[in-house]
Amino acid sequence: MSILDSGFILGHYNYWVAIILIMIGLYTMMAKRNLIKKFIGLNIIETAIFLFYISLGDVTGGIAPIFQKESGETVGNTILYANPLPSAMMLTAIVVALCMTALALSFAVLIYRQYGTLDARKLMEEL
Amino acid sequence: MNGMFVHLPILIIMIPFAAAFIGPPIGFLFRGCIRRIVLIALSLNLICSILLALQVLSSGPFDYYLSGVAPPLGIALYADYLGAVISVLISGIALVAVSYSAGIIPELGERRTIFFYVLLLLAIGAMQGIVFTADIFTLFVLFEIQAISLYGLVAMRGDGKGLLAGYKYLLIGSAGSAMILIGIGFLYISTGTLNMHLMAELLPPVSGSYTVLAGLALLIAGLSTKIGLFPLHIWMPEAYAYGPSIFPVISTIALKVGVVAIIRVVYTIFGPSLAIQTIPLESTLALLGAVAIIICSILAIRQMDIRKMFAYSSGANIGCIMLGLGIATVPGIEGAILHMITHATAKAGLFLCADAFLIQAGIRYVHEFKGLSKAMPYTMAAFSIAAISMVGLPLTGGFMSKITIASAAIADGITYYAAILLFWTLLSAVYFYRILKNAYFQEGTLSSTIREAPVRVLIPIFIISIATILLGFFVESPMALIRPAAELLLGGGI
Amino acid sequence: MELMNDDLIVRTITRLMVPFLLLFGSYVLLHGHFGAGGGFQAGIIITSAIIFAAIAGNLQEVHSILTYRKLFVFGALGSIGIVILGILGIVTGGNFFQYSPLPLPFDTATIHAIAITCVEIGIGIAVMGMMFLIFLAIAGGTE
Repeated sequence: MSILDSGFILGHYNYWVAIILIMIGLYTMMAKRNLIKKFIGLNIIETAIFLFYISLGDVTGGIAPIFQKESGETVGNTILYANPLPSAMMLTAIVVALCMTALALSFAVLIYRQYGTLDARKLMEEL
Repeated sequence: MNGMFVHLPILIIMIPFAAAFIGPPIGFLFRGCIRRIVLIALSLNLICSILLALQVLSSGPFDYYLSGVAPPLGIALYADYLGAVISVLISGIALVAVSYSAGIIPELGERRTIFFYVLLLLAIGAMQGIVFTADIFTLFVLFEIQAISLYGLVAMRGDGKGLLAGYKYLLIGSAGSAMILIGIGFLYISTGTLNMHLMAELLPPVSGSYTVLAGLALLIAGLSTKIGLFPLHIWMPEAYAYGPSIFPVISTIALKVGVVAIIRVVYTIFGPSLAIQTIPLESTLALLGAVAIIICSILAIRQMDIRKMFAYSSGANIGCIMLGLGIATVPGIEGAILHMITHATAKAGLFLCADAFLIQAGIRYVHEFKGLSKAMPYTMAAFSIAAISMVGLPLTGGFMSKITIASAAIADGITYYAAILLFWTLLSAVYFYRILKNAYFQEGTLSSTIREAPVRVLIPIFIISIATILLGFFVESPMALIRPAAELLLGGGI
Repeated sequence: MELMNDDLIVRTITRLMVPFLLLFGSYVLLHGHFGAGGGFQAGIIITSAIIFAAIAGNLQEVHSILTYRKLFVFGALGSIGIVILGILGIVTGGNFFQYSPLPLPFDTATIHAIAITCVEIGIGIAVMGMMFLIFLAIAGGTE
């Protein structure tokens, strides 16, 4: 299948969204001078990764992976359900991202109290 | 295999974590008690690591399934030769570092000392976990625990420079973590499993796809931020210079753990045949290593602040380890693993001595060393031994590891890498000679109030020095573990 | 920093929401072993209830009752509980976190449910302590 095929592009739209978000995040991290904006860029990247993983686990027509007997489409005798592993992984990754955000914000608060600015260029001259 | 030995890997991981959780309640109740808890925990950890190393040496690598569920569903730990030897290194260096530091660290105050030790224990526990895990997502989570603890440790002093260094480390490190996470995602799409050994079995049919290649590239790039491989070393100088006293020692072993993770990705998951033949990864690693060696050494020569200088020197040494891995023969990997041990030992000695100089004499720049050998002869002697090992002169551990890597390069027919190692020895001799010349051969203008460091501080420093020298003479005893480790890695990973 | 809130709407909504949030948190906590839920989510929900109460009431007062030290110990105790449950598996002859050999007079599935609920409670306590600590550290103003 060619890369320029419209079916290829539309069929993988979840990956394209993740890629675009990651690029936006990287740009924010590199181009913005405010320390908190830099970190927001990182948060965008992390969110993009969560979306990417969760879209991995989706199965067309599948139900939420909770044990129940009646609902859900069946193939043969098997009930189709979404892959729970990526979601479980992302739960852990969200916790990690949360810790990182809390740490970064408290650093930023303390840095602002010490220097009175969050401008990365002025601050890096101090180092 | 009997009884308790089977559980050693999880005990080694859980002892520091448990101590980190017991620490605060008891530390808040009894003043200054936290250091004793940390010392007991790390001693237990060292004993367990040594027992595990002996166990692995006698009966070979073994798996450990958490909750007793085997890999496709459960999470496994894998205790192999590499893990055993690095685990002993981690707990040994950490024990020495903690026995060096005081009960209540003066620059931190009582409450922050407790937080400091808690973060330190979390970092140690996470490192032990990274060394033993066989599940790539657990690897990521443990890396994050380690990284968050290290970011906190850098900024622990709470002054402006420490905070800025910590923020810089945090931004670079968490961008690296994000890359590792995407890389894991790509490998997970291609294979449908997270277990490293199952992944190794499932990868060969899909190894040519761009997804797998991108996943590998992202993993290597992300891990490079953790180990400070040359273009991504920029967090190291500031973090080492402005972090609290024993942070650089802990960071030194954290770098080695990152290298272990790279070894796991390249040799265990992809395996030598895939990594060498399909993807020319080995030569890329060696090239990156060679560039890191030259540029970091030149940066170190330009630097007059000794802690920043040692940080650049760490960058060069990481380059040397990558060079050894990139040679991808059994002697090359042996040399790389041995260099991890000798470099961690020597660098721990250097930083402990540098901290003793800072506390006793207020010294942190090269020109201030004039005449110091008369004021602090014992610390200076230990510093010299560590410096000699870093340069790689005979009779020390550093010589053995460098000569192993160089002879591996020559045996493999890539003589110019051996030449780069030789040139590097000259460069590092330049920056260590400056300090030693000032200390031993120049008359000082130091004030007469400078005293030798107290015995409590000298004992850990001497232990490290003796270990550095012993590694030069009795290199065969770690090699008994390293040789099968290298053969195992090249023999298909499992 | 004074965060005493006199706004009628905030106070009323808080009074209505907090009990239900606590109930919902407990449900999610105890439902974690066979459905959507678990310790982390429950801990977050319960913490959000406490934060609600803290915002509507007097933050200084909350601060004096729940000091950093107490919250830190709270978090540590929750984590310790998890480690002990893990090691219980080794003591009773299984692997780490293996519950089936626990000497309880139930069938395996029930033992698993009990043990997992205990772990979830540990996680919940740890998360509650730490999340509220983070909230206080960022909003509280004192260091």
